[in-house]
Amino acid sequence: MKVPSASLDLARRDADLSQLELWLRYFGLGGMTPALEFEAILMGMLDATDHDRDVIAHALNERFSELGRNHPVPYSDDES
Amino acid sequence: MTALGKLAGSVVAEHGRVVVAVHGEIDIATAPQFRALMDAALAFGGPQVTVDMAGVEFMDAQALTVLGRVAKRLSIGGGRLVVQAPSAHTYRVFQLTRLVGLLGVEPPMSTTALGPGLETLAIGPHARDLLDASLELVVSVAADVINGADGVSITLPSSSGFATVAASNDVVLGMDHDQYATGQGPCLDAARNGERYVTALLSDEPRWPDFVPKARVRGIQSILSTPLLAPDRTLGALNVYSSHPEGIADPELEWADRFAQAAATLLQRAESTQGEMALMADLQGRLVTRDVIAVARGILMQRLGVTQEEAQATLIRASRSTSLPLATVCAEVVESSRPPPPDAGA
Repeated sequence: MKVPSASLDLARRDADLSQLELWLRYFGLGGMTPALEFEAILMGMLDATDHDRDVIAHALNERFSELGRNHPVPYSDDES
Repeated sequence: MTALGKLAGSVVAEHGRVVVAVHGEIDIATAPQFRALMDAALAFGGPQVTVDMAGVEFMDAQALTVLGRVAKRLSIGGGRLVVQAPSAHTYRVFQLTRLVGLLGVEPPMSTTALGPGLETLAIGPHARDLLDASLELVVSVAADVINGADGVSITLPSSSGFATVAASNDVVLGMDHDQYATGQGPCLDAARNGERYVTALLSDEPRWPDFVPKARVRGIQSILSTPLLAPDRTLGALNVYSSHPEGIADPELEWADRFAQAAATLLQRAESTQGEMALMADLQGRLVTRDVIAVARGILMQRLGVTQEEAQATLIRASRSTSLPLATVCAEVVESSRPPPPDAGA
């Protein structure tokens, strides 16, 4: 399932993270995209690979786990 | 040139310029001599007095107080004070209290020789102490420089409402607490509304009916609370209390504003330093997990003969299916591939 950038950014807001805070988490999980391009992805200006989206989704889902919630952000291999 | 203990100085007036050269240390012991030297300079009638600080090896709040008074007297008469050639240490004292502009301090000849600033060095628990010490300096200098002031304090919002972070004496601290306790008063209104509140005579003051009687018991007759302003919001208030009726009037109001500006700048700088420090600490932690993940990825690449991306995807799938954080999964992978001790099985 292809996750649109807009929904990643919505999830980011729902997770109460700034773009920089989410990038730091993504970077901490081994993400390779620099912060500026990362912001462009969230804003829908750049396309990310499925792999990159999954790392972003995972960073968001780990955050939701910390907040005691389930994993609401889908991955590329989830059933659509 | 007169030599007075640890302090020596001279006053030279020529072509309408008055230059004071100071050598030695300015502290509580030598402050009276420094004040006398500056009074001698003021006696020439200005309009400009230049203080050459090249020979000053040490100065504390006492020097700031004397210079503050001189700057104010000159500015009221349309003149100005210029402080020249401070040493790196001396310039730091001016900078830390944000009084550089107010006291007309020119930067040292070589700013590159300054090295890292005290603010940069004071990372960690000391940053808070440094901010408190700087605010204490600002209120003590303000209390000395503002005519009619019996005390000056700074109010900031706190988790429990409002709190005093610096006060020049216990009476003003009590005055602040009376306002926090009654929930009313000029310092609260200034800190909330970002406007200046002046009460010339408390006995005629209809606002704050619960607080005013308490203030009068403490012998206070007039109050000024001026907001500490950031570009986009109000940070708190600087409060000046006087035991004289109409104790604080123009031009003292303007001077209070200048000290409030110095305090506001200090607070904003401290806020951004704290933000940067939190970000650095976060980044440091994330670099550690990133490292563990990179090692685990490398192990899987070799074990499974997959690409870097495939290894990362495998690890994320493991994290999802176990509901363990990716860093924990990776730490286990790294741990599992640790070679057995050399004498294992021996």
